[in-house]
Formats: sequence, structure tokens, C-alpha cells
Amino acid sequence: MKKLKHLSFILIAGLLALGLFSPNVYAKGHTVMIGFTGPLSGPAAQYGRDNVNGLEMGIQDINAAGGITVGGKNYKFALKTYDDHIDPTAAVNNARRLRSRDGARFIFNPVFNTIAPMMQINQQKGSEFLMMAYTSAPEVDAMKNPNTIAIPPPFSVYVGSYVKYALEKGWKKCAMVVTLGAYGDGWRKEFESAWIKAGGEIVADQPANYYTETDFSAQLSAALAKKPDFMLIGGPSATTGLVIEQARNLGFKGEFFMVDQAKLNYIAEVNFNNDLTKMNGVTGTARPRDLAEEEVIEPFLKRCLKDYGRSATSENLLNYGAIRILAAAMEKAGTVEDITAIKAAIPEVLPMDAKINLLPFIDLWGSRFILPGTIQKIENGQYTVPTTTFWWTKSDADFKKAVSSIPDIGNTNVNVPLEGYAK
Amino acid sequence: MLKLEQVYTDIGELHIIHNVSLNIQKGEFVTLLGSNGAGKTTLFRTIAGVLKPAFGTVEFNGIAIDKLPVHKIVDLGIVLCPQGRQLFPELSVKKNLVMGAFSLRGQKSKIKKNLDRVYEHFPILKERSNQLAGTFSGGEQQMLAIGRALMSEPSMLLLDEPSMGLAPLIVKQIADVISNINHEMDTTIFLSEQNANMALNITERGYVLESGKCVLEGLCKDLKNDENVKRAYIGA
Amino acid sequence: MELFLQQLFNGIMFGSTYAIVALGLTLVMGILHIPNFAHGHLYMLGGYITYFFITNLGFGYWYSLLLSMVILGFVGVVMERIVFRPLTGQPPINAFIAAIGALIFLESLALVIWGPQGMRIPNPHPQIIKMFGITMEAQRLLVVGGAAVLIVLLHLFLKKTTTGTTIEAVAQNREGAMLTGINVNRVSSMTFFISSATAAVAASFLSPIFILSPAMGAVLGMKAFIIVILGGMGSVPGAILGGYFLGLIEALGGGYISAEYKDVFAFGALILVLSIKPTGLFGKQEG
Repeated sequence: MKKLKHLSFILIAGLLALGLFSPNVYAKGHTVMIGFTGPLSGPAAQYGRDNVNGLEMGIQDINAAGGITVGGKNYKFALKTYDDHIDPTAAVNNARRLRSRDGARFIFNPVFNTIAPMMQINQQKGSEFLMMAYTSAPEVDAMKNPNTIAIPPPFSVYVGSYVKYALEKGWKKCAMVVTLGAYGDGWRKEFESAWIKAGGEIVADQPANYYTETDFSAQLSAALAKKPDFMLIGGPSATTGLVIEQARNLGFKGEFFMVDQAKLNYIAEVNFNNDLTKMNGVTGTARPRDLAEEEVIEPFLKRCLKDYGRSATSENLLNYGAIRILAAAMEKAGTVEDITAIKAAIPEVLPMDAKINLLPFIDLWGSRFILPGTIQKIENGQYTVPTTTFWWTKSDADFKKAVSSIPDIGNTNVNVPLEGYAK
Repeated sequence: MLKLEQVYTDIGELHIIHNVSLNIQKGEFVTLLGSNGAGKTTLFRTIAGVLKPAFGTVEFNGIAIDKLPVHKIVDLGIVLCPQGRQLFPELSVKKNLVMGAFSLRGQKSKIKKNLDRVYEHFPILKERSNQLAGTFSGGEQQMLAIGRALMSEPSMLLLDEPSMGLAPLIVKQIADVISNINHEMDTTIFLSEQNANMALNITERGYVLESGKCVLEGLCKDLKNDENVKRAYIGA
Repeated sequence: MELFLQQLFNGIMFGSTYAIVALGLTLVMGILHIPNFAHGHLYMLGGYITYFFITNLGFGYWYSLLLSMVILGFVGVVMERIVFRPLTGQPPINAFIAAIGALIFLESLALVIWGPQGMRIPNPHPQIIKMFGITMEAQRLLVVGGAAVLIVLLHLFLKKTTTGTTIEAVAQNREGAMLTGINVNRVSSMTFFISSATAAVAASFLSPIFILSPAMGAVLGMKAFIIVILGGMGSVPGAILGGYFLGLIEALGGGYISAEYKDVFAFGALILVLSIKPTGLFGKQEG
């Protein structure tokens, strides 16, 4: 009996150890330590992993190319990851640990709820770190934190595109079943005010917890009773897929707009076994293969499939691009420690060769990368030609200039300048 | 039939039973006298296998039972009717009784026969067979507890203070039934009591337990006349 | 009216699942007096086992469900044997910690084997049925009907068979049960088997409608606890009624007032019931 007890103990301890210590990569010699804290277990674990996978691939490529040379010394990159279960306290503790113990001056995090508290501590004298924020929440920009770089386009870009599209269709009534939390609340509020301003009407607002719920029929029944023309939905991809399926089963015939956290190709794969006819009328951020030229993106997609057994997501792509830009900026600034100088060097290295950082990162706008936002609709069981939105260009001339500066991949380009979005 | 040799039992850090040896023959009706806290219940629980002796052996029909689990001891034929009755309060009277025959599971006719016999001894249990045991009065519960213990047709019945907390009239009634069981069914009975009057009147032989030690043993008629017993257990 | 019926149906469907999961939990709680925090995670594992048989081995839905029941039942037995039984007689805190250990173990196990991404069991009954003006998936109807059948079967087992009665007997008086010759360890194993097998049924019913993920058990496990406390620890009718009650409260409260406060209704009901009757709806006073 005693033996059995010990055995179970050892088994549990062993598994815990597996979970805690597996994905960390150390390198010898001079090292630039990259930190990551995010959800690696729990409902958002896959989302967290997708971010880490992008960073891992980027670091592999940086090291395979011989690392970077700064001040005559050669540096290799290494990644240290911690799980924070989207708990702000854990995220802050992880960030402190990453900075002080692991020496990471560049810390990635993919959830706004945990990014915000981390931004409270990234300017403390002697333990500054560059907050690499993978979030589209525009609040990050409003916080004007100099030690932050937000990676994806702000979701206001998609709000603008969706409103424009809905007006063209002549729709009036919108129902919202969006995920709870700071990110989802931001989306709902921003979409609501933009849609009402455009003359539309919000007939139902039924937020739901996409992280803990799997049945949305209560919210959907209530929303559909108001006969909406279209719905704004979304949160983590898998549960967003459930919302689409359940709404269709309840008889909804209209179209869906998805918040940018939900990914078309992920939903198609996990929820519908790649049967796109089940996703007709769904619009969301474009799938990765429509974000860059084929010869650039295809090898990357194949690599994700081979290395991780999964189709690439935009988390893979954007984090990959961000780490490559960071490496180039370090070389340019001639330092691996002075984060202010490194950030300042970023505009100088952009735009980079698409073969290196895949996506058309154009510049830095305050604390955010300038990168067009691309949406795409599924119709007749197929992905349609995506619409790429240029959001930072004020005049037509600016727009044309920006369009010509990035590779033409056959997408429709539109100019929807963000109002009141301060640089 | 039942033989204890130099049994010591501890509960936690406390040494409750010290060096008890006793021997009961088949068909005997024996009492265990002792005041509150003398260790009667602990000794019974040791025999039934709920507690394991720290030292010494318990043998039943020549088989060492001191290391067997309780249910195996029940299968061998020793059943303890415990102090506090330990009934199933949310089950009906009938289900309590049927559970008592668990070691006979599958033998429907035997269970039926035993059930009828228990009802014969305690007609009130038959009247109230669908009532929940928890709603019974103390006396009725004691009858049910004895009835349940009889359901498996034990060859040896350990009765731990069946008279505790009951009115004299009920004690009398229960004493009659116990005597009947011993005579008619040839069940060996080991009865622990503080109430020496009742116990010494119905049993044949007795042991006296004090502070976990067996201080006296003998035939009831001798014990009744023993000065110490008189003073301690019968009262002036 | 249609909306009301739709919400009612949703509530009953969820209530059905809650009821069978809580039923399994309450049985174990009644017998061992330990809160098996890992119960929701057993449910998760049941879903994955069904997934494994359907997707990896190509078995039929019902066949996979049965296999999942049996296998998870034995997982429960093993868990009782190596995690909980060695702790009998020790302070309850030890069982608490062991249960949490088991929970982390199961979630990590699923994470290692199947990875964190969501997975789907193909829906065996994707038909849409319209009745009384409401729309429902056939699989959801199956959940409601299947859960009802399972509850009735379990009830008959507990009330009408000697083996079933031993579970109640051990729950009501462990030592009394021992003294009647019941092997309480075997009853504990059996209870864990039943408890885990019903969790596997619930998971197999629901996973074609939803998504499998290693974390899915945590929320349901927590709700099952609310129900068990609400209904009274160890009470079977409490678990069943509590399950349907919680399902209805969530659906109606969530649908009519606000989904944002869905959990507030559930916990609100819990606090209300406990403040009026601290032992839960069907709970008995200790003693």
C-alpha cells in the first residue's frame, strides 16, 4: 500500500514537471533571453501555444542564420515561457521572474487582461522590460506606455470595415453575442457606438463567457428572437465555432462578423472538419495564406503543419514577424539591453524583406506596429478575396503610396482611416 | 468456540485492553460486566474485527480472526450488535433487516425464513416494516438492531449493552427475546452490560472487566454473591 | 412564448447533464465523505475516450459510449484505490489535496496526449427537429431522454437491488454496514465505478454538440459541486433536482436577464438556499 502511494505521488510529480519545464530552450554563449507569459493550460491553452510556436520558429530562424552581432559579440536567442492561466497576478509575477531571474528584457503576452497590469511594472527603474503585447485592444495605445509594442492591428480597424460592409448591404439590425472580459467588452462598446453612429440599431446585446461556456443557446435564442440582419460574435475560435453552429441550428440565416480573436481557418478545421459550407456568411480576419505572397507564406504554412501538426494561425505569423523585427532592431541599435534604443531603431529597419518577417509590417505608430488589417468572408463554401484595410493613411495619396509599398497579393485594398486614433 | 489469548488493544495512543484471555463454548450464554469506560465496547470491537489487537490472538472455531476484515468475520458467523445500534436511518425497517442478511445474499428463501423469524421475535418490526429506521424510538431501534444482527443466522452474537438508555419494561422484553434466541436457536451469545441485575439473571457465566483488565470470572450464581460485584455493579 | 419554450428546453437539456454528473459526485461524497474535486476531470477524460474510439478506431457512437463508460469506470476504481483509499482515517485536508493532485494529473494527461486545442466528435444525430415552434438538434433531445433513462435506471438500482442498497447503507452508516458483513472497500470501488461511468455517459452525450478540451471538466466539476451542496451532500434526489434547477435558472436567467450574470444566478441560489437551510435542500443534520 505504501508503495502504491509513493508511486502515485511520483507519477503526479512527474507529470507536473513535464508540464512546467518542457518548452524552454537555453543556448550557450551570449544569449538574448526572450520571455513569454500566457495561458499554457486551461481553456485558452491552444491560443497561448500558438503564440509560443510563432516565437519558437522565429528564434530557430534567427539562430540558424547565425544569431545577431552587436558590439562585435555574437548573440543567440533563447525563449523562456511561463503559464499564467490569464491570471493578472500570475502574469505580473511571471514577468518579474522573467526579468530578474531569467534576464529577459523582452516579454510577450497575448491577453489584454494580463497585459494591462504588466504595463504597470515595465517602467520600474532597473527592471524595465519591453512589453511585447499581442493584443488588438486599442486601450493599449491610449495608455501611452513607452516600453510597449503592440503587435497586431487595433481591432478598431475591423470595426470600421464591418460597419462599412454592413452599410453597403443595407442592413439595420445587429445582435451581439460577444465574449466577456476587457477585450470583448471593448469590442462590443466600440462596435455599438460605430454602428449606431452609422444609423444602425443594436437589437440584442447578449455577451457570454466564451472561456467557460459551451452552450450559447440561451443567449442565441434571446438574440434571434429580435430577428437581427447580422450578428457580431466571437472570442476564442473553438467556442466561436460552436456559436455559429448553434445559431444556424436555431434557424439563423443572416451573416456573422467575428471579432479578430476568432480565426476562420481554425474554426473550419476544428469545428467543421474543413467543411466550409457550414461557414457560409461568416466574415472574420483573413486566413494566413491570404496575408502574404504565396512563395513567402507557403513554406511557413508547411513548416507549421510539420513541426506542430497544425495549420498556421495569425498568432504564429505575427509573433514570428515581431521577433524577427526585434532582432534586426537590436543589431541596428547596437545593443541588446537598451530597450528604448531598440524600440527607436524599429522604424529604421522597417519595412523588412518579406522573406524574413513574412507580413508587411510598415512602421511603428506610437506603440503599435503599422500593419494592414485584412478581413475575409466565406461564401458558397469558399474563402473569398480578402479586403485589406489601410487604417493609418489619411489622404488618398497616402493610401496609394502605402498600397504600392507592400507586395500585391490580389486582395482588395480599401482606405478606412481611423478617426481620433492618436499617433 | 471463541478464544482470546493475551489480547491487548490500543486506540490511538491509549492502551485500552490489557492482557485479556477468555474462552466461550458453543451454545453458551456469557456476560461481560464492567462499568462505563472499562473497555467492554473496545473488546467487542476487537473481536468483531473493527479494531485490530496490538498483541494477542483471537480464534474462532480454531481459525485466527484477529487479522481478518470485518466482513470476513461476519461470513464466519460472528455478528456484533453494536452499542449505539449503528442502523441505517434513511432506510426502511425491512431494508435494514435485509442488509443484515448481506452475507446470505442470493439465498432468497433463507433470507425470507430469517425475516419471518425476526418478525416473530419482534412483531412491532413487522407492523412498521416500511417505516424509516431513523424515526424509531430507542427501544424499537434496539429491537431492530438485534433483529438485523440475527438476519445472517450468526453462530455467535455479540450484544453490546442492549439495555442502555431504555425503560425497564423494554429491557425486560429484550432480555426475554435474547434468552429465547440462546435457547431456541442455539446461538452462542456474549452480552456486555452495566446492568448486572439483568445480565446475571439470564446468563450462565460471566467475566468482569475493570480498566481493560479481566479481574474476575465465574458462574453467574457465584458472581451474584461476590462482594465486589455486589458493591460495584448491583448496588445496595 | 416560443422563446420561453426554447429557453425551457435549453434549461432542461443542461439540467439533465448537470443532474447526472452531480449524481455521480454525490454518491462518492456520500460514501467517502470526500469532495472528489477531480470528478469534472473524469468527465473530461470520458469525452476523450469516446473521441478516441470514434475518431481513431472508427467505432460507432453507441459502441464507443459503452466502452468509454466501462473504461472510465475502471479509471475511477483505480483512482479510489491509489489516491483516496490510502488516506482513509486521515484528516480530510489530505483527501482534499489528493483530489486536487488527481485533477491536475488528469488535465496534464489530456494535455500531453491530445494537446490543448479543441477537438470534435462528429455529431451522430445532426438532424434538426421542430416541435411546438421551437428548434432543437436531435442530439440535444437524446441528451434529455438519455439522461432521464439513466437517472431512472440508477434510481431502480439504488432502491430495488441489494447491491444498490449497500451503497446507501454504507453512506448512512459505514460501521453499521461493515458489521452486517458488507465489504465497504468493495462498495467504495463500485461507487467510484458508477460515478465515473455516469460521468462518461454525460461527456459522450454532450461532446458531439460541444468541443473537447482538457480544461472542459473544471467548469462542470465546479457546477456539480454547487448542485451537490445545493441539494444536500450525499443526497440523490437533491442532486437530480438541483441539477435541473441549476440548468433552468441559468437558461431562463441567462436568456431573459443577462448572460453576463448567469453564474451570479447560480451562486445566488446557492447562497440563498444555504442561508435558509445550511445543510442544503435535502440535507440531513449531522448526528
